[in-house]
Amino acid sequence: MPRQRTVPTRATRPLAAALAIVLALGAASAGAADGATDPNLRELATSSLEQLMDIKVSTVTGAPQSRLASPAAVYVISGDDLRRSGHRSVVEALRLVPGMYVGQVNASSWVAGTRGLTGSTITSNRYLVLIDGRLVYDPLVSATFWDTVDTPLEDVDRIEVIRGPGATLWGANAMNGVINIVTKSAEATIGDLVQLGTGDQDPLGVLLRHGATAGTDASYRVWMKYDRHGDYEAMDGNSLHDDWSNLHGGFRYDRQVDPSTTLTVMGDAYIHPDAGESLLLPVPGRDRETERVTGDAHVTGANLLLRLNRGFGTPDGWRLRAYYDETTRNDFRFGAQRQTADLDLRAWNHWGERQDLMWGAELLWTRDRTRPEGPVLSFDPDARAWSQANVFVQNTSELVKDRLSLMLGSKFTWHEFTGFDVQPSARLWWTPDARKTLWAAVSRPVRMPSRFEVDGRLVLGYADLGALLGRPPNGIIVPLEVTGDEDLRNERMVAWELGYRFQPSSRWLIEASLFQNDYQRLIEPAPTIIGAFTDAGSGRTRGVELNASAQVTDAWRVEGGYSWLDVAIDGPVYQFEENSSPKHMAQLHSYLDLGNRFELNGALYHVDRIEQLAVPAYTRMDLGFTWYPGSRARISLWGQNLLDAGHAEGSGAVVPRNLYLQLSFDLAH
Amino acid sequence: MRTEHALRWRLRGKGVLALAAALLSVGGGVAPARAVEARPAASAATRAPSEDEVAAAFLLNFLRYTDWPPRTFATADAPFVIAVVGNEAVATHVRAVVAAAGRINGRNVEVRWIPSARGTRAAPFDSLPDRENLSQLRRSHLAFFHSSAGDVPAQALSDLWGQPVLTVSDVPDFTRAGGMLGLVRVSGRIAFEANPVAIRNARLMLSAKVLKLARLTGGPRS
Repeated sequence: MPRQRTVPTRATRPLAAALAIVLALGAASAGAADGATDPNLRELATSSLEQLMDIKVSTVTGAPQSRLASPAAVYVISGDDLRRSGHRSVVEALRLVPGMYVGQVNASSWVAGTRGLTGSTITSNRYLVLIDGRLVYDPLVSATFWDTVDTPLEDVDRIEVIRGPGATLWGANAMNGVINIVTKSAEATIGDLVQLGTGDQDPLGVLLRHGATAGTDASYRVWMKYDRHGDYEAMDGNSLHDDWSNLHGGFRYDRQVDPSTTLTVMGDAYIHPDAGESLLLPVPGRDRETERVTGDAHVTGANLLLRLNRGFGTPDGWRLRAYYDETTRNDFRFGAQRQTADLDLRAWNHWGERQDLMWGAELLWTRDRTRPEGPVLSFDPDARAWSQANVFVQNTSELVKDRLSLMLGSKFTWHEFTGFDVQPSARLWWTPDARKTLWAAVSRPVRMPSRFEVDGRLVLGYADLGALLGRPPNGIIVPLEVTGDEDLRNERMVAWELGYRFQPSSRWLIEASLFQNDYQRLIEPAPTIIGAFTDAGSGRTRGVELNASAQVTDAWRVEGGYSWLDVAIDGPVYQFEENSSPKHMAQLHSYLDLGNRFELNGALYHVDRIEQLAVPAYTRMDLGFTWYPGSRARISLWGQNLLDAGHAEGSGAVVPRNLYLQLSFDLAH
Repeated sequence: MRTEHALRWRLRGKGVLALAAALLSVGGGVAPARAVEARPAASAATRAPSEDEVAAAFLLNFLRYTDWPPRTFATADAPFVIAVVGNEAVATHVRAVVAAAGRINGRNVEVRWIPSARGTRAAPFDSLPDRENLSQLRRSHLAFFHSSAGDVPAQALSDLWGQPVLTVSDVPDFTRAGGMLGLVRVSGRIAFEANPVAIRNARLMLSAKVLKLARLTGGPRS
């Protein structure tokens, strides 16, 4: 029977006070390093033409941003690439990232991740997903519910994907990567937009957006979208009854408070009027019996974010961000309502002649309430609130001007489940000339166990005890479950990375990265699955990621990528994750402009087989044709998965061949 | 579906007050008081400016040494308006340099950003409110077409021809295409080309001192 426990009341009070002092100190020092009175800028601004014409301008590092944004295996999906890929959701668009595995499980769920250990129903994934800095990865089960990551793609400015440890800048659990979806500022979306789409798999998609200025210094947008997604079929041809729909609305407001300060407020709310699911649930009290339950889950959420930014993109500045996020998910397996509040301050200063210091502090508070009777997934205690505090510091030094830079940093985390931990990292990059950069990094990120791994209880089935032991049934029915362990410690990893980026000419770009990750205290289910989670695992992943981009002619751009991954897991744990990622992945994209009014875009993806899930290798081709009838309209027709009638990507649905037509209009005021 | 579970999250009084105090102090720092320079003088030194910052400084000089007809200012106090066509980073740099400059010829300088990024179909003059963007450009004193927006659309230049808007760009061959001032790179430094015909046609007076420093192109409008 579930044990009753009081929630431990750790030392939250002195922690909050300490954080407040840090914030206050930060504000004081950041105020002194005011971008508006930067002596260098002042000198520049009052220089004469003759003086300006005498200044040697740096070619390599360029804007101060590039010094702060140290090279890592970063891949940026621009808003334009997004549009020309034909994907209709953020998670599908992640297929563009070399090394990123995206496997659609059914109409509303996906497994995605990079560098292995990408998670499943009983194991966690090890990367963060954020929208404008707001966490959308769910800490309850250490997974991302991709059906709630539904930012309108028209509003996405870019998706930044950091493969590998998110250095010191990002939250804990960014072991294998960070996916940050950055939306466009309100200034960039002024006007009225109407978008309509229809296809054989997704029967309806509507987006309405209105953006306008609010005075001379501010602008805003409000939007609403409604999508209907059709159901998928399993391998045997039966429907999974997983059709769903999504009603989502939001706003964003940006204001230029003064020349160097911007204020942003944004928020959105969603509800899924339909959220179909059809599951085989174990019947309690019966020996290995399951029943099929079909119906609709209940999914809603809302959030609000505020951000104040001073000196963004300049060498000295700070940024304050606060958000509140609430999600509710009630399906036939479990129910949970989660609230998160976050406060984050970071500041950056240029000091000495060639040093850039960045530091910050963050306080994250989460509260959840879960459905005590599960039936499949439950938690003990069924409601809990916990907090986490992070402080990070990072310094980038230009050791040799324009040639060699070094970044040293560390993140200090205090988490209510596991206490204090340190995540140091170091990165070195060498630019022998303007065309080449070679970089190397070593980091030691950690991952905190999720609430599921600590307090959870996942019932896989019920069985007669006698039958289980190989004897005649004795009528005692016991649950077969995976349970949490409150003594789990943080997972640790040492990541070694090496990368090279080369621009042979202005039309070519080649990038390569190598990595090896050594995991300690890997949290996995027990060797026989049934039992408690254990941190006795260890593992090693290593791989290579390559991508190249070529502007073949002025109207034709080609991009290609390849990745290889090898996963090894040791220790007394259930080792299925060794074989739950594909070994090879490759992709090729072609973006062709036909005159001024037509585009032909295409993509070819190849994903190697996944042994553990018995999913064979597949090759997928997408092709899209876009027509601009006038300056305000756009019509595109996309065919996805054209090469075969359907293929499986993860355990679950067959992803079918489908067509989608989208019309987009910018209306005059 | 949920049983009632009485969970109370009690605000830990002192901690929250301390946090609130921190927030207020940060909020107070937002208003750009000319803060006391806490940096020691020794570190007021040579950080190489980026190309965008130097370009912004050029724009300020162009403002200083050009005369606009009085009708382009609503009042004696009306500010100069620089319209920046390019990506967000460029606009931020221009704003930063403009903020550091203070007033030019007794007027404040305002920067308006017209968003655009390289290679996108959504270039401002092709899709969205092109009329709104063009009217914004016409209402500014200086229009800076940054290369991050791709090539300067011919439509924009022809629309501005004859208008008292100083057109500046770092896109190659700008002045030959009818632009007024073009920023060019010459052995690691920035120089500029000028098209006096275009400038005169706009009824703008650019100081002879500036024209002397420019590399002149006599190009007619395309």
